[in-house]
Amino acid sequence: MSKGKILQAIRTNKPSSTPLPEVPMYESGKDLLKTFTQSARASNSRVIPWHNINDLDQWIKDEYSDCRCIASTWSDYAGNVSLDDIQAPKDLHTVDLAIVCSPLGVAENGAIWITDHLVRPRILPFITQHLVVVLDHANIVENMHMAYESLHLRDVGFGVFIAGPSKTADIEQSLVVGAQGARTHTVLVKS
Amino acid sequence: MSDANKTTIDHAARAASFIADTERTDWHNKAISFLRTKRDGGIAPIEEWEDLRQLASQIKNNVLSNLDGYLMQFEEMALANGTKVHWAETAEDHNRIVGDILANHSVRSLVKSKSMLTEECHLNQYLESKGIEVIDTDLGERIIQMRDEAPSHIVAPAIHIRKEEVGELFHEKLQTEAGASDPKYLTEAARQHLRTKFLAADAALTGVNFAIAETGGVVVCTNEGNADMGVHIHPVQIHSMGIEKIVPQTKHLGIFTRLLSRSATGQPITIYTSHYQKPKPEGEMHIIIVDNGRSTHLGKEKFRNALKCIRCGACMNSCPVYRRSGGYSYGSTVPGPIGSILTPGFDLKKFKNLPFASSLCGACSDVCPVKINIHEQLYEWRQIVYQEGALNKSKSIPLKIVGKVLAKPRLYDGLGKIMRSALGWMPRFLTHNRLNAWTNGRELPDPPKESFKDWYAKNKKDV
Repeated sequence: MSKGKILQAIRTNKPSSTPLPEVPMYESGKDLLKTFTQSARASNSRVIPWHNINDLDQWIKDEYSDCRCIASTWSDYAGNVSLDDIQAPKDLHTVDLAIVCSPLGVAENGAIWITDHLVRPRILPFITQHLVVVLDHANIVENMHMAYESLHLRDVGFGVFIAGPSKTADIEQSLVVGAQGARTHTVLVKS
Repeated sequence: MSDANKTTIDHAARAASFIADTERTDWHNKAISFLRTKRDGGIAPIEEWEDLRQLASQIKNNVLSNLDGYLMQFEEMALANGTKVHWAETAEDHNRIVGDILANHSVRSLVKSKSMLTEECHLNQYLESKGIEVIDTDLGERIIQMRDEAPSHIVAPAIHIRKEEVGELFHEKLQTEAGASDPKYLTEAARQHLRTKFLAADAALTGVNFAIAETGGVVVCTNEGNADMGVHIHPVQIHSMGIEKIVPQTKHLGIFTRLLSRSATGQPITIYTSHYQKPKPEGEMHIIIVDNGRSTHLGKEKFRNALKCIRCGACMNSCPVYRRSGGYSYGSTVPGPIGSILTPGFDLKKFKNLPFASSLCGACSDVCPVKINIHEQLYEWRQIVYQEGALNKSKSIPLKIVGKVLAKPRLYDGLGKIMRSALGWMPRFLTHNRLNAWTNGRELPDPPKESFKDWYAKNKKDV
């Protein structure tokens, strides 16, 4: 009933139709990895080239020595949390470090795309204290126009661009990193 | 707010009480100006910025002109995704729908992420009256919720509060150390507090930045991650959206995500841009499509394009009046220039003063990412306020007198001559008094010896 009334009111009141414009891609041919790295660092992310890591196990032990509970959805790293056995998403509140894979990075803002195809439960990259994202250099696009062109939103249940660690400036506009989501955000770029 | 229930919002009186504290006014002005400065820095590297604004404006025009069709397409796609779709004509309908969903799931505690729509509908008060705990989870929103206040800014809801005041509040509510005011320390305390609330709640509700007709999904932008912390923990997720939040296709998000956060805070993108397409496994996803006066506003030809607004806040950050009078002086859910052109359409009597809370400098229109002609609409609203006979007598009577004088050149010349002399010897109380708001806080310039007309008549012979 509400639906019919609302739609009828819109039909009566709407202006005459105007066309949708074409949306260009605005490709400028920037160095994608360099731009991605600069943008990501500007929003407090770490970007680490894969070739700087000799031994992933050792690197995680060194970098995340305080993290006891590690969950990974990346096939090349096991972690010590069995995500298949989780009863409820909230059970993941003890996760210190999550390692996930991203199929898409955006140079202009340093964001990476994560979907529930690769990351389940959906809460994992938010509830974890620290997040490590594995991204292939070849999957970086220049800007958001290109990103949306390639991410096939219709096929996902949930997808998110994450551009850095959770942050807030709600108290006197002082930037504080580590609001409600992950405290740190690190992108490992494979080439 | 003491006069929240009075029929007319007296912006000038509210602003006067705000600026009585000069030091705080300066601080507020600087805090808001800082956001505008960050916006300018954020858009500087984008060569196609003006193109993007133009495209966004055209896309939103197209949306408004086909809104019924897009909403039907959106519903069809959302239903196919397994989402439940509800339609709410009014704020009361919206609140009742939320209440029914929560009752069906025996929800006792709801976590909410920032939503100006639920502020507009006064959802918190409604649910609390039903015994449901509502926790606002954006840090700024949580602060003002604890203070029992409304947001004073649509992007930075607690921007009017100083860190020492947050320190006192958290000391009382969250047992932080007395006297502590370090934002990092206070934010950490809020993080710990909110994590317990996220885990204990039974359902989550968010606002909506964009609703995609093509896919039936909704997009929510946050920096803190609070929307996702709520939505993914609980089986029941609810998203409340105004009918105007539609974008036609996924590819249009490329434009709006580039514009929104840069216009708001200068960031190239918010930290989290979340696309909720389908319910989680064994979960329920509800979308409530709310009208609450928007379809009526759509029929107002001169004012309809205010519905293009994407709620970035750039207009208020650029407004010399907002910066120095604070969000509460507007007495509306959405304050600042955009609030001043939206609210008179919903309640002219209550908000008739807001179109006058502007110098008509046009800074708001210059920065608007969807090119709403805000300052022109402010001017148009003033005329409607006048035509409806709703103008205050302190404005309407002098304007009527001035109108008569200006219509008669001889009378104008004669009065000008008298006043040029009289202003020199007249007692001050005749010009500076309670009845004449025009000289409040202003001094008259020294009267000139002759009128321009006399001067021109004399000097044109020499040219």
